[in-house]
Amino acid sequence: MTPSRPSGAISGAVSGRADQSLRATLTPSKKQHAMSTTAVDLVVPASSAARPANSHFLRTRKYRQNPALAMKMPPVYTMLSVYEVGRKQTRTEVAVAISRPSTARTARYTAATADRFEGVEDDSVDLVFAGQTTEHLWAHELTGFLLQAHRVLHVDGLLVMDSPN
Amino acid sequence: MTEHLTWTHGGHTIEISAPEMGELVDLAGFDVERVRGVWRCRFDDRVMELEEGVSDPALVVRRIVEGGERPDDSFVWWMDAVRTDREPRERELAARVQQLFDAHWNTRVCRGMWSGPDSDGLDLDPDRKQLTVTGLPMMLHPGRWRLTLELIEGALSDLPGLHVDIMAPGDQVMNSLDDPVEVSDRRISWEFERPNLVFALMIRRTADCVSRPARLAMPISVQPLDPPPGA
Repeated sequence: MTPSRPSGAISGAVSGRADQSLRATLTPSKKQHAMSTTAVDLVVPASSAARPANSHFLRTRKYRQNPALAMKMPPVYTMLSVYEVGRKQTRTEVAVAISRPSTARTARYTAATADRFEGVEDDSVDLVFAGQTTEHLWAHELTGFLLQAHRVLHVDGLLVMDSPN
Repeated sequence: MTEHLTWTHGGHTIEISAPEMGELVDLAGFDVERVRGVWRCRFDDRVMELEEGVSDPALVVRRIVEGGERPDDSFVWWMDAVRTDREPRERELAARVQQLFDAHWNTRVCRGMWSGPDSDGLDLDPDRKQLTVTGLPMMLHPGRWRLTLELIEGALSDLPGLHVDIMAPGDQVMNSLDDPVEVSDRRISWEFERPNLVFALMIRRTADCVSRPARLAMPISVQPLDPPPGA
């Protein structure tokens, strides 16, 4: 199928869209969560907006044009992190499994697998973030990850994920 | 959406939709609080390429803004789920995850070979002297696997020289499938072993020629005989 191009009419706001009604009903603790997870609502300048999509597209194109490149590219750059938000203005981050962690100075890193958050106590964290991660997991790992997220989060804690559709 | 776009990443297993993930988190004891989309790709029955229209600022803005409200039509979904005091329904969760893998794995394997679930097969053109069909990169975990080809039309005897290789980029043959474990008029299966996890594998099927019109059933089946390590 050769898709046709829709018109470029703008039908929504261009700037960041905070969900005010949601924010208004949040407890202080959950406000903190919301503030830490509003990236999805931000609209970045047009020139850089398509970069995530671009990078995936370019990688696919490189695979097609020169499959040998695929073996030279790190196969998985994904991070699974557990944050403790707002505790004495520090943040604890546990990078789990297959990836390289970020370089945040306030983070503490612990190697573990995606389906076994070793060293993280039950009901002990506010936010589990898995960005572009779940699509790298085998079935038993995905099941284990969701169960572990439930184990380490306290009630009303937030599980945040994004993934290719 | 990734399937519609024939998009791939060598390190992915399967990509699931936001509604599917919503089911899973519910079984795991969460309530979905918010779902958003990033980068709208589907416009009614039209699917735009990832980079299509990026030189048109208005269209770029539209794809960003409208994607937020349409996660099902977007390339990426974003989900916030709140942990409840419900206990996870572990057995049901594991069963549903496995169900999703069973449903999506073969289409993932065959991405790039054919147009997707709207088509039941791939026509093998009798006019071509040699036929090569190659998929996009994927990964296979260590263990034994079974690959099965089935014809909807024609017979295997119409495909002289049929050969299947498991390839790594750079035309490196990882597994050459020579001796089938099962053969009938229209169906043939091989088993092979992967000693280690390999990313960016692809499958290459070649035939010297096709003597009569034939149609290969899609997706082909590539199923693990051993579970992934740690399962």
